[in-house]
Amino acid sequence: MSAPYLHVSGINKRFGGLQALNDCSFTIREGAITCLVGPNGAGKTTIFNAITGFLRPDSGQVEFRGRRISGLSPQTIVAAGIARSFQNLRLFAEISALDNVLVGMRGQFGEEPLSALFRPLKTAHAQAARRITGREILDQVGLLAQADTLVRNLSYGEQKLLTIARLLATKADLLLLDEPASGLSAGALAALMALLRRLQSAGKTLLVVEHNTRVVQQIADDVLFLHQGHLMAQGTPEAIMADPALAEIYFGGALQDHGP
Amino acid sequence: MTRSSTMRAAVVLAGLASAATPALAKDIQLGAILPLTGPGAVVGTQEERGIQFATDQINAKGGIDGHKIVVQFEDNQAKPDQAVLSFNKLVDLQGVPAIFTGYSGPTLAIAPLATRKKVLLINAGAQSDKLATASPYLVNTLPTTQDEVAIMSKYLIAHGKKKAAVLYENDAAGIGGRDDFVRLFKKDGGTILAQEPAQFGQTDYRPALLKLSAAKPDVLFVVITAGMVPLADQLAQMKVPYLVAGTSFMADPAAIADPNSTGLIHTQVHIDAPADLASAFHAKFNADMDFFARQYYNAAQITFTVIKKVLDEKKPVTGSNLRTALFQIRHFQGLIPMDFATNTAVVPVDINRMEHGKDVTISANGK
Amino acid sequence: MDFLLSYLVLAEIYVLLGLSTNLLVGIVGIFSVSQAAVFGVGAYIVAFFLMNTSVSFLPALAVAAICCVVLNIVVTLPSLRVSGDYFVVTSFGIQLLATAVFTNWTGGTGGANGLPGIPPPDVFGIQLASNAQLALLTSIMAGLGCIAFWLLMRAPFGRLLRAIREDELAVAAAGKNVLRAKVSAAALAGAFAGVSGGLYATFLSFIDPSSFDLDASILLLTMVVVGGARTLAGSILGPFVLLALPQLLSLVEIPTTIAAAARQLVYGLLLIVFMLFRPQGLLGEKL
Repeated sequence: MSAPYLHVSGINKRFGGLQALNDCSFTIREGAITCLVGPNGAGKTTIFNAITGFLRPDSGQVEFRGRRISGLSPQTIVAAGIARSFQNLRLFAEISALDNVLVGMRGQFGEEPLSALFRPLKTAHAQAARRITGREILDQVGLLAQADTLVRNLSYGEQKLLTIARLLATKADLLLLDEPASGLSAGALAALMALLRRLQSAGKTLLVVEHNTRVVQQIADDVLFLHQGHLMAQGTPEAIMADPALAEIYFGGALQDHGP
Repeated sequence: MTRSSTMRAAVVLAGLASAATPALAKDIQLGAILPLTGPGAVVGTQEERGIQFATDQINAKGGIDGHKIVVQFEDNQAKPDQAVLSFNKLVDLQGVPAIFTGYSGPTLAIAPLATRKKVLLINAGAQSDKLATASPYLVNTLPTTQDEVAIMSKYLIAHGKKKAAVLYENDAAGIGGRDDFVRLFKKDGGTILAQEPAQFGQTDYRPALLKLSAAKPDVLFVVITAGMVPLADQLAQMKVPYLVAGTSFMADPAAIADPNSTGLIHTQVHIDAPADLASAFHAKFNADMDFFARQYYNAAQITFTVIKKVLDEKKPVTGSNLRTALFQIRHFQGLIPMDFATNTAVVPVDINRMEHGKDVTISANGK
Repeated sequence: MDFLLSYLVLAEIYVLLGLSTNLLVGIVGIFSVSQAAVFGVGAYIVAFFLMNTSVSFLPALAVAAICCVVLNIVVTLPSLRVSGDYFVVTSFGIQLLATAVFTNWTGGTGGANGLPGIPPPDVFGIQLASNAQLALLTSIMAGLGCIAFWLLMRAPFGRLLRAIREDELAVAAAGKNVLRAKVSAAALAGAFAGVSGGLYATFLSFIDPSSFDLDASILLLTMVVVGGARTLAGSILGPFVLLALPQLLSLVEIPTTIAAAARQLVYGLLLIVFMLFRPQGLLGEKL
């Protein structure tokens, strides 16, 4: 049997008196859209941080395509093929949408000062090529028309799409999306779900934190249910939604914040 | 006669006319580069007033041989780069032959330019030792710190005070004075037992004084430019058994007025303003004519005397002629007698002792 | 003529220094208040070589630049651990430390009394003594500096630095080495500061700690802010304006009795009014 695509095993993380992750283990399949659900404070963002190297777990490990990646720096993990977005977007507001995408591209000529200073022509040529690629990526998420707009002038929905464009620029295969659908209008939501499906058919694997059960039902192939830092259940959306015990935990704790 | 030669003749005639009547109200432009903004501005303003007061006086009397004196004041912000700009502005655009300067750094920065451009620099405020030899065109109307310290060092040794401790301010003036004292006192046969730094404007000297007292010196040499009153109070409180000595920096009027300062001795560049001058100055500027105002007033008068000599000799008022005339006159009697044997004037330096609110001369002119 | 040339020379020296500050503070957002200290180290090193050895100006300048590269990396390193306001405090400490060294290390720096008699620069055996020659030298240097700044800012390196200023974490999430980018920027800023320090020392022929103290660092920040942060044009314009300001103010007729207070007031008011009505500077972006 070949190694699982992403394998998280026995991760523990304690912040002071709070056990944020408690023996958290799961696997995800290549090519699938996996949704990570659970009440507020279940440790969803914490597990994102642990997978992408922003947080060093107290114990446990993460393997990606059979290679151990826990303990590596964020940039090495991106190079290995995993990229993540942030719940609060973290876009670069004062530069253009296209520049945001370009920052995400790896291995650019002229990204360190000596080549920028002493090979200006090569830098400029390489840039011209990168800009074309950057526009293609923006086109993929439907933001080509806004390429030169400063990010702070984009709508919230556009900004959310841009975070995905920035992930695509890294050429990572596994994308970790932290609540990509929250706060979107119905139209924007439909566009987003279509985009996620397109990415899946283009060969990307997605791990998505999502609260909206309708969205989960529509896009998820697998659902991971996290509670108090521990994986409570894993299964198809239908199976997870049908479990009354899980529904109690989920809606009991989060109904006020996240209605259907 | 062609048209161009007519014009040429007219120009020559006009030139002759102006050369023939030099007294015809041609103003003499002088410059002054002083710290007028920034931390040095308090001193710089007094210096400016001293010069202005002397200038107004001489102009009220009709100027020098009919020439009105105009002083262009420039702000060096106590920085060398601004001083260089101001120097070039004054020399280039106004063509001034002489410039009053203040503050050691800015003066040292423009000294090489003065040599090159043959512009006389008159310093009446800064005391850095390096000013003595910075340029043949730089004259100092007050002794360097080194000269004052030398007088005090000899006095102390002569009075059997051979073991010294030093309290110094951790800045240009303090460190310069400390280094001079350590060097000269050792040369005169004394020993330095301990040194302690203080910060500018510090008010609690007790920890430093405790350490220095522990060394059991005969004399404590103090080089601080601010905070004399609290120092005097704390020295009195601790009833220190040794003599406390310093330079002109110590002669803060508030410290002298404080009865606790009784017994402190210091060198003092002797420069007094007659009562009528001091009150006229006060009436004009609503400020006392302090040490620096007197110094620059005096320096301005010396400069006017030198200008008069150059004019009387029917020479053009240039920096090099002014310099020659200054050393020819050599002895000046303004507010104080002054002798320019070198670029740094020899002036009376007294040793004073503070006694119950008064500053009493105990050794006139270092004798 | 000498006045305009010396103004040009000084302004160009400050342009180089302004580029250094703008790179660090404006572009990367490392709010350093110790750039004058690095500038000072460059000045003292060049002064040392020219006064005590037979090393000529350009090699001395290269040594100064390299030393300042290393130094600036070291003094900027705390910004990798502490950010924002905390780094300002650290940087403030570094500046005070440097001033203490400049003032007390009498053997090396001449101490508080400064170092007079620094010889003029020599380039390929020619002594550059006249202001016109010096202006040519500083114009070439400042020109090269501006071209370098422009090339860096239009390259992906410049974009990366701007992104780091906005959100370091997001840059790391995009797979970039934030540490290396920051160290590179600090190194470049150090080289600029070192070169400008060397030019400053040889032009003035006299240096003392007053040119490299906290006030000088703040004047430098003011130059960058007034000129316009984050832009090349701003870094050029700021020094020209700020250097001319005291010279222009001395042309204003102010009665002697209130002169000092009035000048100080005008200076402060100008800056306040300016920041209120044009916070982005003359030719820059809002900081």
